[in-house]
Formats: sequence, C-alpha cells, structure tokens
Amino acid sequence: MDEEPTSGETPPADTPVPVAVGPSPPAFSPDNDHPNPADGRERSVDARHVTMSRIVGAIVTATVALGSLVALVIVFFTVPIAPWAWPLLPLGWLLVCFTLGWFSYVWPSLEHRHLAFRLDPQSFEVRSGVLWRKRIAVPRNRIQHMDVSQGPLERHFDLATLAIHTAGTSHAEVRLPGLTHAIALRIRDVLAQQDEDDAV
Amino acid sequence: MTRSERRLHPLSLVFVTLSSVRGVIASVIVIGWTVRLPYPAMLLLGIPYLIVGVIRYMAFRYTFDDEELVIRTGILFRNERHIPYSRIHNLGTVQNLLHRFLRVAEVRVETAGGHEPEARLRVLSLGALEEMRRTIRLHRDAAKIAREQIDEGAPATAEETREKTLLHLPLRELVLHGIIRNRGMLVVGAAMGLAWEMRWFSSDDELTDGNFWRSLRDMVQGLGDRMGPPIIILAAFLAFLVIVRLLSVGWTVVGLHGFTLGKTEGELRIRYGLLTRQTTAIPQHRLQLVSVREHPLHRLFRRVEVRADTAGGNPSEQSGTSHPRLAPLLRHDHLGAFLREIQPEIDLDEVRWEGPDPRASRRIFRISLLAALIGTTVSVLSFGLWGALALAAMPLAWLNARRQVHWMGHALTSTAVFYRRGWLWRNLSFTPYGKIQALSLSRSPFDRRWGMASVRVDTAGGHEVEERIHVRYLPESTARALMVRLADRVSATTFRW
Repeated sequence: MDEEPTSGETPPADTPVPVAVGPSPPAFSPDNDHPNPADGRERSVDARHVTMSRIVGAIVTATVALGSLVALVIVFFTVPIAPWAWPLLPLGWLLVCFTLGWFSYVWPSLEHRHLAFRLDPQSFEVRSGVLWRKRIAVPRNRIQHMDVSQGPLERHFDLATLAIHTAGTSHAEVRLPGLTHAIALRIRDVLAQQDEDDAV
Repeated sequence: MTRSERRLHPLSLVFVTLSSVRGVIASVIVIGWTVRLPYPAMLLLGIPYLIVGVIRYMAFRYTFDDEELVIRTGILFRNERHIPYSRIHNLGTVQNLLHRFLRVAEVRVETAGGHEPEARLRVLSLGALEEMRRTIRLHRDAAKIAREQIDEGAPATAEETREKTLLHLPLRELVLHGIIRNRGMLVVGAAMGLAWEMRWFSSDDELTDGNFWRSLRDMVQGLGDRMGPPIIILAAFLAFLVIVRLLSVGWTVVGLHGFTLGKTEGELRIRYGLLTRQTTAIPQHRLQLVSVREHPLHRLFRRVEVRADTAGGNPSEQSGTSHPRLAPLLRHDHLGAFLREIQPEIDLDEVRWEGPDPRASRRIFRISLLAALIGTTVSVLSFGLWGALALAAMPLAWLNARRQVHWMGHALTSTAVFYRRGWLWRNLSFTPYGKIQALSLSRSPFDRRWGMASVRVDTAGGHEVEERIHVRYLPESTARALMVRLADRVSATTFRW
C-alpha cells in the first residue's frame, strides 16, 4: 500500500482490461489517452497541479506583500519610530516577502509528493498531508454523490477537483484536487456505476 | 382555498409573533429602560411582527394527498413542498405553558437526511395533530401492507400499539441527574447577564443606585468582621457551589420532568418536560453511534449516561432545554439490557478488547512531563522555590498515563465496532458496521516518531455525541490492519437511512 505512486499520466499499454461480469464493478475500456484508474494502484495527481498551486501562492504572496507595504508606510508616517529602527522596517518586510515566496514555491511540490489516490473494487482512498499525514478511505457503497469542479485557474490547466460526498460528519466531503479534467470525469463515472446496486 | 386544504390554528398568530419578538425583546426592554421610553411605545415595536405573522398565517396551507403531505407557503414567494408519507418518520411536538393552556401544539415534521425539520407547523390544534398522525399512519400502514402482501384477513390496527417503557426517570433520579450534570452555571450566567443589563453592578446609576450589590457587600463585610476573612471566603465559596448545584437540580427537574423512553415497533419514543412538554420519536434504525458515559460522579452513584447520534430530523434546537439523551441517567446494572433493547443486533458479550501500543503510556507521560516542566518554571518564577512543589504531581501523571492506557481499547464484533477510553471520565462508544460512512488513518509528526497511528471511524449525524470513535496510539501496522478489517466489513454491509 505504500509503494511509490505512479504518475496518472502514462497509460500502462499492455495492462489487460478486466471485463465486468456480474457483481464486480464495471471497468471501462481505456483509450490511448486516458488510462484505467480503477485498477487498485496508487496514483498521484497531475504534475501541473504543482504549477497551479505555485501560481496561487504567488498571488497570495503578492497580496500580502502589497498589503503589508501599505500598512508599513502608514505606520511609518503616523507612529513615531526611533531612527535606528528605520532600516528594520523594510528589512522585516523583505524577510516576510521572501519567506512567503520561498514557501509558496517549495510547499506545492512537497504536497504533490504526498498526494495520491487509489481506486479499487472496494473503496476510494485519498492520501494527503506533508506533516500530518492522513489516508481517508470511503467504501464505494457509502458514496452519496460526487462533484467535479473547476476554478478559473484549474480550467486554464485543464485540471479539476473531484469531491466525494458521504453521509459522515468529519469526512462529509473528501476532496481530490489536481486531477486532469478527463480523468476526474472518468473516476466519477466509474464510481457512479456503483449507485445502481445500492438501496438508497 | 380548496375543500381539503387546511390552515393552521388561528392562535398561530400569537405564537409566531411571540417567537419573532422573543429574539429582540431583551434588547428592546433594555433600550427602552435606558432611553426612558414609555412602555406603550415599546408595544408599538411589536406591530411589524404581528403583520408578518398575519401574512404568514394566511399563506400557510397544507393538504393530505394520496401519497404525500403537501405544504404550500408564501404569497409573494410561493413554495410548495411535497413530503411523502413514507419519508415522515416522526411528528415531534413542543408544548410550552401557553400551548397547553390554549390546547395547541407546535408540530415538526421530521424526515430522513436533514437536521432541520422538513416542515414546522406552528401551531396546530390537538385535534388537527391527531388527524395528521392518523392519516400518516394509515398511509404508511397501507404502503407496508402492499409491500409485504398480507391478505385482507389481518386488519392493520396500528392505532395504539403497546409501548414498552425502557426508562422512566422519577423525581429522585432527576434530582440525582441535576446534581451530576451541574447545569447550574447556565442559570448563574444568565442571571448575571440580566443583572448586568439591569445595572445592578454599577453604583453611579440614578435609577438603581447599585443597591443590591452594596447591601450584599455590607452584609458580607459584617460577617467577615465577626468571623475572620478566610472562613468567610471558604464559606462563600461552598455556599456558591451548593447554590449552583441546587440550580442545576431545579433546571433538570423542570426541563426533564416525567422523562420516559418507550419502545414500540422499532421506534423509540421520548417524552419529557414540565413547563414545555416535548415529544419525539426516533426509529431505531436511525441510531448511528451510541455512547455511554461514566464520570466520577456517575460512578459514585453507580449510574451511567447513554447518548446517541441520530441521522435525519435532529431535533436539537429546542427552546431552553437541550436535546435529551436517550438515557440521561441509567443504573449501571441495567446497561446491558438497555443496550440490547435499543440495538438488538449488538451483543456486548462478544466484545474482546484490543489495547493500544504498550509504549503509549510513556508517550502520554512525556506530554505531562513537558506540561509539568512549563508549569513548574512558571510557578517557581511566580512563587519562588516553593513553586517546585508542582513537581509533586509527576507520580500522579505517571499513574494517569498508565491507567489511561489500561482503559483504552477497541474491539470488532460480528456486527459493530467498539471503542472505550478514559479511566476517570470513562466513555464507551460503538456503532454497527452498517452505519460507518468513512474511515481514516492519520499520523501526526509525533505519531511518526513513535511508529504509531490513529484510526477514525466516521458516522452520520454527529451532533449529539461529541466523542467520535478515534482509536489512538496504535502501532502503525495494527492501525493499517484495522483499516483493512473495518473496510472489509463496511463494504459487506449496506447503509440504510
């Protein structure tokens, strides 16, 4: 369960496709572009998710930098500060900016390394978290409904977020960002097939 | 209005207006008091609410269709809600003093999958309520008969099925519950808030002159002069504790008066309340997670408290009293029988406890050690070397860690997963596999250092029971194995609302 996740992008060309017969969950025939994510192997999300997160981080950094600069200027002109402290203010501001910026660059790739999902006949699992590591498993017959959503940035990168809704309280919604839009739709379709077998 | 359409009872106007005004009435009174507004003017402020109430009353109509209850509301923004009879699992009622005096009740139509009642009828006459109950029951039984295909021979007399009383709390038990529960601080807090608003605490105010507070102070000082301050402080403190407990007892006795939990045909019925009578019914299959609590005070009296999460139609926003537990107070030796009644498929005898990692006691102790070091540093800085006495708590902390680990455990039976924790404040929770929604395994950085992990079991409707099933301090391999075992069993069961 803890092997290195394979990227979700390379189609395993020779993998035989299990044909669904009877109660086992239906598989779909993989075309060349989209592999079968329902094979129980752990997969990571698209690498472009890292780029997207970095852009988001850059926006946040820029906003905080601008806001704090404005605040700093206001403080400088209103609150009396000893002359020896004057160089400290811009230095502090630069420090904050660089820290935020560095963090925005480094953190997404760390997160990506620890983000993975797995779909097997029994359940859907999402593994996430860099420091506080967590693995959430939702049995397929407990999935209430699913959302595939795309923010503006995600649309630009052709990524999507898959949200699985359960009837639980702490895990009422299990989100998996960074999937290719097509793969997200595929997963949703595969999971949706389960619905027919369950009593509501 | 067509012939079969019904309106709410005309007295609804009174209740709707009152409830709208209730939210603002405290502020209104205070504002009026300080601004010296004449009282009649304050009544005028209620007029907009009255108008809204009239409009709402005129617009509310309900009908009994073949398969569903249809409720139409609104004049400008119309809404039509269809509630199939089969979905209605409870008609909860609330009756405060005014309701009972006027022989009406507020009715809440509760269905599955939702925390708010599907429809709130404020208010219906008791006759209309009975009609609604009868109609719904009739249709539900008709549907059940059609489903089970019983032939005409056996008529469905579901009118007054025998109800088996599972728990009844007489006055004695309620007093005990009040003592244990200690809700007195609620009343004290409310009273202090009111006193603040009424300016009893300030002595500059013309109106009241802080009379109450001053006379209290004088009285206490007089006693102090005669008996010496430390005794006075101690006596005052003890008196305060006693008063708070008495208030709690009063609050409980009034709020849960006549508490009865009965069982009919797979449904649990709860009735309680002295001034405000409340009734609610919970289908047994809606119970999600059941939790049994035992605090030191509980143990002193050999009692426990049983709570449960229910999914769908959670009647948790009552006025004043909080949602009652399934069994606010239950004798310890009745627990096994009680649990068998409410969850028949679950057998406590099957439970074989599995404990956490043995190293968990060391880990818990280390946390206490850290806290003790910080505490000692602070107390030494504040009180000098005597502050080092705080270290005397260390053996206690070690004992606490060992006892905690001893009382921690999880168990998987054929039908449910169990978890228990705590040695002073004990808690036992369990949920059938069919009610488990999701599982998670988490490792904090500290978990990773110790090679441990924790497993969470997620269930629906988690509002009542604050204790979730969170199995901590497991060795990592055990945690992973537990996830697999649980996942297998959960996949093998279906979830039914």
